[in-house]
Amino acid sequence: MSFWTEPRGVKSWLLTRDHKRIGVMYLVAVLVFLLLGGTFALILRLSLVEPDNALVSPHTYDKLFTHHGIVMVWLFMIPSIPSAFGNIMLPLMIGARDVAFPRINLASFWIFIAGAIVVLVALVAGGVDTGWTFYTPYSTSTPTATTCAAIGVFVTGVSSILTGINFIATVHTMRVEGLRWRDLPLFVWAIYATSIILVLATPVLGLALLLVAADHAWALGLFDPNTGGDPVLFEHIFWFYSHPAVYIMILPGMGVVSEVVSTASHRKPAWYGAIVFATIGIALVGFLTWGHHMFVAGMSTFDVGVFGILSMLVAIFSAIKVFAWTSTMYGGSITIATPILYVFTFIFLFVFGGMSGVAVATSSLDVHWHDTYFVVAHFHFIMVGGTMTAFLAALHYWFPKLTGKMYSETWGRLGCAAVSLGFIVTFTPQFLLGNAGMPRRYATYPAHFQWLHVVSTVGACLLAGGLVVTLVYLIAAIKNGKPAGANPWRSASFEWRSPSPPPPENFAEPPRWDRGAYDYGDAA
Amino acid sequence: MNELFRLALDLPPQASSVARHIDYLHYTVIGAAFLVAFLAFLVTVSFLVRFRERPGYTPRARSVPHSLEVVLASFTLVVFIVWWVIGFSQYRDIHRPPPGAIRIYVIAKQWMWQFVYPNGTNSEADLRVPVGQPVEVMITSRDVIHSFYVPAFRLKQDAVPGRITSLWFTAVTPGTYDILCAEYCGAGHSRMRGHVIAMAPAEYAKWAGGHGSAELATVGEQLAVKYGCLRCHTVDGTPHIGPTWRGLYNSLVPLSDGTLIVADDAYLTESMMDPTAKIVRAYPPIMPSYLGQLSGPEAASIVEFIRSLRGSP
Repeated sequence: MSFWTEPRGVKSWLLTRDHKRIGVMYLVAVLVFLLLGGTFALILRLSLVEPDNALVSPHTYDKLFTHHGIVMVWLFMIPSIPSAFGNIMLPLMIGARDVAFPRINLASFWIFIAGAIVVLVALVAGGVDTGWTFYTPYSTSTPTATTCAAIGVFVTGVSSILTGINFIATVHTMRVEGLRWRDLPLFVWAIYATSIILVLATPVLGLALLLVAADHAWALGLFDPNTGGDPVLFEHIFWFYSHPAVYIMILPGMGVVSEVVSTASHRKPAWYGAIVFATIGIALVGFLTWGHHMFVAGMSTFDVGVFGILSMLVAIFSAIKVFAWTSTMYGGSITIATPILYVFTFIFLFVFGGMSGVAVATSSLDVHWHDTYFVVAHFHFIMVGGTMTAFLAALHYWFPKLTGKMYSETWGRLGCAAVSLGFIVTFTPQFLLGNAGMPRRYATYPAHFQWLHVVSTVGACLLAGGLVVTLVYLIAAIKNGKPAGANPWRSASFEWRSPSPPPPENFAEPPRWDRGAYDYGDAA
Repeated sequence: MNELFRLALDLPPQASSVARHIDYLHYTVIGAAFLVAFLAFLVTVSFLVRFRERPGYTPRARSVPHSLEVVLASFTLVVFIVWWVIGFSQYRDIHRPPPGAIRIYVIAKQWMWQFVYPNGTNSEADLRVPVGQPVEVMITSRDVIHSFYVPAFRLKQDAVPGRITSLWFTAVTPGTYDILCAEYCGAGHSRMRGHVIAMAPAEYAKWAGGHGSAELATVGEQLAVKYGCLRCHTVDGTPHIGPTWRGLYNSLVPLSDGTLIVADDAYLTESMMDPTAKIVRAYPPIMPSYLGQLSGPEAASIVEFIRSLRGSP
């Protein structure tokens, strides 16, 4: 009697109000978009093997990197962990029957799909060549499908806001009796902080995109100096959302890491209070750092100084978390398995990626690195090395809970090794390309950059191979995996008290919060 | 040591007065990033091995003292703030030109760089500067956002339409250094390249003095005669076979499909290359295309000539 089979029928899935089914549909959708965005990335990498780019024309190349960015950011990264795993796990972790507003949850999913379809229509109907950043006045003057793409992203934003409101209300009102705020699992805190950003920042993106769409469709000249507009204004509005969006992408990943580290070490998270404080700190201070994307855009020197110091502050919150995770492992009893191996990759890549973020926040250094491959490498270390590895950790960690089956550990480790190695080989050379002065979004490039591009492309193929292998053995395990049992990781967290896979009503008996989510009986 | 680090990090030559100082900070920050990531790697690996679950192993009750974490976090914050102070003071320096700097205007457009020197001389693609003298570049764009980037100088500044942005530098070694566009600006973005040619001061003076200072608009006028533009377009305001050029630039033009368009650089250039795309109302669509005949700089010069035709003759 699991949620997979009860009730039966296609319609019972499409119109379900069960948070687990909605989460599963999100999971399938984001995996499809990950494959699509990844395919774009692979074509980009292959066409960069030659300085003169024989594979695709420069204009096609411009569209491909735009499509890669739009699909990965708005259709994979933003909904990946919050909408998929947040939906499935949040109610289970707080002992709830469902989210606070199940109908809105369903609406949010279909609005997301509608937005995604509009985006895909834009990609098919001529494509978009603006870059995912939609910088004006280029985006408003290009003949490509800016309007359609901007409206599509706007619609997915509506879905983000609804999901955010739903999660906030769920954490406030649906906690099982006896679960206090100070005992909330760290993944729940992470989703809560993420939801705050979703609700506060997404409307600003919506505004920016609607202005661009209107300007593009009717030539209003809102950001065009010839008609009294200001292109830099758009950059401000855009980054006011898009910098906090980075934390929408990474905070849920950090939440996953906190859970996996604690469960694998069988220990209460070290410095729980500091992690919560840092999570909320990132969500709030993250709103005040957007200007570090504009150090060479002609901002005043004073502004550069202010945004620089605030960026340093937000980095320290992340450092606190890294200290806390490693301290949690100290003295524990660590079960080595695929999820903790992904977390290990996460910590290494996140530390280096984070430090490279501090480097680009240092204003004089950023002048050289801005809009070069160094920045590309930096944010891929955070987005792919961080968020995607955390996503894969979550996928393996919660796989037995979700499906009731265990995946093959041998294949899991092989996949993890291929993904980690592939990632490092892909993006480390890009730091050097940035140092050497290779600007991003270049369809062709001076020949002396070639060898680094070739190495990077080899890594990208390995990374893609690792991801495909992972998908294959996970799908195989749904059918042929060994039964996992309710709690294969011997976790104290609440979601593992429900059977695997959980029944439609989540818990066989009405749950009681008689024991904490991190109660391993240790002294920490 | 400097040279070793520079080569290891694949950095271009240090050809401006600030490059070396910026690189020192670069080495420090990236060195620290490597060190910290390596430490994190070592610590997690050793913990995974030492504290792995195995028969006969009992986990420790003791945990890391909170004081250690406070110390680590505070130390990290102090290091970050020191980097901010150094980085920001360098940033301020490159935006405060010393008195007496040579002012050169940089005009970006899809997809070329144009430079205008104090004596009225123009150049395209190649920016000539004297070694050892401070040069302030005043940067703007004619169409979309571009970014003036000289890797060997470690300098970059966006070219924003409707604004002038600036920075300054002193070239320290004679030579030729790449200028790249660093802000995505359309299909020609990756080919929008140029060079800074840093010359010995005497050589520069000779070049600047000996270079005929023909204004861009004057060049445009000669080209308009050469290509026969003026046989159909007048410059005195009277309509002829085609619309007059007098007062045309940035004016509102009614098109045959009933819409209005601003006759900006983009429209004027398009009209030369694809004349039938937008036909001005009441004129026949008979102009031939100049695509492949006019080079980018030539088209820009003609636009510049049209721009100079303001007010009454």
